[in-house]
Formats: sequence, structure tokens, C-alpha cells
Amino acid sequence: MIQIKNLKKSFDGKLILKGINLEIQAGEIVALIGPSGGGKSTILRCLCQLEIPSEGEIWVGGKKLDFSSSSHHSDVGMVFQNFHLFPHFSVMQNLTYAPCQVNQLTSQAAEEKADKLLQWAGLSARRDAYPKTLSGGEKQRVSILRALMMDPKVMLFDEPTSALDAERVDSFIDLVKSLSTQGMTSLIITHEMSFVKKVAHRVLELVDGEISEKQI
Amino acid sequence: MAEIQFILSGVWITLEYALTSFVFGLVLGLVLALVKISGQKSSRWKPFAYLADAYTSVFRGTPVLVQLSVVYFGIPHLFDYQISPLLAGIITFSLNSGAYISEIIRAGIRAIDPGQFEAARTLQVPYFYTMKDIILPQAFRNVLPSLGNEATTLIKETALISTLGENDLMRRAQLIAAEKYTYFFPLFTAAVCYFGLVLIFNFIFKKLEKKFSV
Repeated sequence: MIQIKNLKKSFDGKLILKGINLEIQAGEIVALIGPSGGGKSTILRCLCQLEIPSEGEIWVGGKKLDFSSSSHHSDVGMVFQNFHLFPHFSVMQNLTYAPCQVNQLTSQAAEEKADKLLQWAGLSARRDAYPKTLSGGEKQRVSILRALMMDPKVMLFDEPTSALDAERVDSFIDLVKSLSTQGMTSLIITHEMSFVKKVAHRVLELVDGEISEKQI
Repeated sequence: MAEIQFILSGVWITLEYALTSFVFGLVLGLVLALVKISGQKSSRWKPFAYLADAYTSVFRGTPVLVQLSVVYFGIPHLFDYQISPLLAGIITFSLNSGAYISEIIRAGIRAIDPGQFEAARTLQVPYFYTMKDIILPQAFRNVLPSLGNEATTLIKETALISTLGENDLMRRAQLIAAEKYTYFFPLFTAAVCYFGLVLIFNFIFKKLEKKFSV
């Protein structure tokens, strides 16, 4: 599902990613660990086209990512560490805005789809709430659902457990595993090894811009 | 009593200048702010951004009275067209206000968490819609207090239109003062009217801030 070939990225002349080669199969849950500043977030940001690689190629679902145009790959969904929900939109508006604007879905069809997802995530009662009234766990789930509304094949998670208590971490694990059984590929950046052991099929470690497989 | 009524009827003229100029200034300021922001993101917009910066610099760096005089007395010379005080006033105050508002909106946009742009990009929302529906509504909420200040400044600055002979609040107070040889009462009445208008605008902007707070 994801193929990264010789990915290099430098900032201000400093090489952060030193030729990453990586392959992830459909439905796999892969954890990416490593020290801070090692380039983990940069890989994710290249995958969702927020950063332009200095060298190398990225393929998602058999299609090569095009960094020369401003268009974005529809198969990649991103869940940010701080969620970045739109604060002036309700939960429902956060979920339906992009599908209506980008995928030209009618608002009725988008709301039906959002309602199903909200029910699945146990958030139906919060459909009209605004982000500032949501708990950390609820914000994260809304953020995941917002990405899922665009029907991605790959989900990227940047430090998803950093704002969650133990109970919420478990429900996040259930959610990611449930997505995996439906064929969703997940790449998760984390520091917490106990979480990694519970959720990941495979663990990769990124140290000084080089990636290696790690046994768990 | 008739004198007070005469002065008070100038409130509508003052409001006409202030409100019209504020609306035009807001539109101009928004366009200039977007040009300045686009210039930071794309080299294609850089020359326009320099022009917008130069424009802002000129209008913030010269007195409004000078700008008003250039428009009212200078335009007839240049184009052989006698401009009315109303048009000269609205053009000057709009251009001046647009310069200040562009800086207010630019600062408001820059204060938005870059994560909001990034979230919109990962959802494939085009730049135009990102600005229109996601960034500007949040920026607008942030800059409402500063826009309120600009609106009240504009109300007070419109008193300068009296120098062109327009019968606004200030000019009417001066006319009564000259006619009755008494200065304190008519000018104090005008001051109370300006202060009342400013209080009303402050109240409206406070309500707007409350309404748009999330």
C-alpha cells in the first residue's frame, strides 16, 4: 500500500532523512518509533504532502505522489498530534465540510455518512458540539472521523496517545484494529512501547535519519 | 433647542461618512491583506505584495488632512473634474482605513495556528476555500476588537470633512458658534454626540465579539 524509495529530506542544508526505503502492506498497522528530532514527523508530513522531499519517491495505493502540483492525494488521511479541528465548526461541520467542498457530496449524503461514523465511534450525542467543549479523547476521535470521511486507504497518526488517559488509549487501539480489519493501513508515530506492543503488527525505528526494523 | 436640533442632524452626515468608508475600507483592507499574505507564500504574488506594503506605508505615514486635501483640491487640477466633498471624504477615509485594516487583518491571519492550514490541506480543501471558510472566519473573530478601534477612529476622523465645508456634526457646531458668538455649548454638544456614537459602536462590536466567540 505504501512504498517509499530512497526518501531524503534536508532542512537548511541538514539532512534529516538519509534515504528511507520502506514498504507497508494493506491493512498493516506499523509503529514508527525513535528519538525526538529523528525525522519521524517528517516522514508523515512527506506522506501527506505537507513537505516536499529533497529526493526519492513515495507511492500510495500504486500511485506515485506528485509534489509538483498543489493537488493532494485522496488516499491518505492524517490525524495530527493536536488534532487541529476547526474551532468555529461544530463536530458535524468538521466532518462534512471537506466531503461537500472537495468530493462534491450533497450535505444530506455527507451528514448521513457522518452520522454513521459518529455512531460507530460512540459520538452521536456530540454531533452538534463545538471542539472546545470536547474532551481530548473525543477530539481525537472526531479528528479520525474527519479523515475517514474522505475515504482514505492509509491513516497517519502523529503521537496519537500523548493526550489520552489509559482507558482512552485502549479504545483508540480498538478503533485502529477495527479499521485494520477493514483493510485500512495505519502508520503511527509514538514513544510509548506498551502501546506499540498492543497495537502494532510491525515496529520501525528511525534513528539519525535512518530506518530499521525493530523486534517487539 | 433649534440649535441643538441643527447640530444633532449632523450625526447622520457623520454616520454616512463613517459607515460607508468603514465598509469600503474593510473590503480594501481584506484584499490588501490577502495580497500581502499571498506574497509571503508565492513568488508570483511578491510584486503585488510590495505594492500593497508601499500603499499601506504611504497612507499610514501621512496625515489624513493632507490626504483629504490632495483628493479634494488635487483631483480637480489633475483631471479637470470637480469632486464633491462627499466623494472626496469617502475616497480618502476608505483608502486610509483600508491601509490600517489591511495590517489588522494580516496580523489576524498570521495569528491563526498553521495547523489549521495543514489540516485543510490534508483534507484537500483548495486554498481559496481554506481562506474563505476556515482561516478568515477565525481571523475575523480575532481582529474584531481592533476593527472596533478602527471604526471609532474613523468616526472621530470624519470631523476633518468640516474643513471642506460639509455640514457634518463638527461644521454645524462651528456654524452655531460663529452665529451666536458662543463656543463652549455647541462644541461641547458636538463632543457629546461623537462620544455617544463611539459608545454605540463599542457596544455593537462587543456584542459581535460575544456572538462570534467560540
